[in-house]
Amino acid sequence: MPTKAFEQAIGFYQIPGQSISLPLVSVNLLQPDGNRVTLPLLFDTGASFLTLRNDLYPILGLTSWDSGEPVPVNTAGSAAPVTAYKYQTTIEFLGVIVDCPVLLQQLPHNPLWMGLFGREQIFNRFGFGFWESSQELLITATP
Amino acid sequence: MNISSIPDSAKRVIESLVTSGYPVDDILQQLESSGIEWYVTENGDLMVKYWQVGAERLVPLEHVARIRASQSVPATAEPLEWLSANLDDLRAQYAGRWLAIVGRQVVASAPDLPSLLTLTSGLEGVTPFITQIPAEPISWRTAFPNASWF
Repeated sequence: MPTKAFEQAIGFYQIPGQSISLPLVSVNLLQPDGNRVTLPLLFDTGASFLTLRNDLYPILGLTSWDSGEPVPVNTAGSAAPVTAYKYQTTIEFLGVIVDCPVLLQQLPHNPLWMGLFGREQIFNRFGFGFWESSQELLITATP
Repeated sequence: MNISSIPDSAKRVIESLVTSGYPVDDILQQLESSGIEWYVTENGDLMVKYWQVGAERLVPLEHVARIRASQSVPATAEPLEWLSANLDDLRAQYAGRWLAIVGRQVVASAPDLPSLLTLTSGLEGVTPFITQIPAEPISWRTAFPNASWF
């Protein structure tokens, strides 16, 4: 039986007053001006890309959210694809700095997640596991 | 720094950082971002704290939630934990506003993100946690049942 080692265990977040738990991660985003901000993101293995709410475009140093490469994306519950706009950014997660594509897309507004922590050029730098019974997301920065 | 007793996985992370050539402040900040607690001795040695399993399955699953609720959380997760725990109060006070949180405190708020970033650009040595408190009702479900939400 294979054994995997993880350095971090991030508990799912229980939503107050709701029977809902969400796998949320805090990710640092390095802004073009050199400043850093931390954003809460929903860990989403179904998201091809790191995806942020469209109104976060100032963090990327942009003057509008829809000036990048248009990318049609499918979303759960939507029959037709919606258009997202693709840019490049730098994130830091668990001490690992990753240059990766990022999509800006219209997403529901939620204070606990400002976007989706998706796969492209990110997931291959880490190892992830779910422990559903203890509601933990397990992570290693050295897969 | 003596890292001979640290697990190999954590050791590789620390070794890659201390040999990266980054400024010391950046290295320490990245250790914190990784959830690694550190301490610098009078001699300039970097000491790090790490976790290892002390006893597997010690706590019965039915008691895990109660015990975890009373324990401290890694520094990087603290703003999110605090935001989640205080969301009702924050919604009452900051509906419709953008917030910058450091630790367990709102350090700045603004009606829009550019204004907030201007306020936080003067913060040195900290990475603010950014969120926006919706004025409208919040949808917690993540399998969106219809496209009209977009």
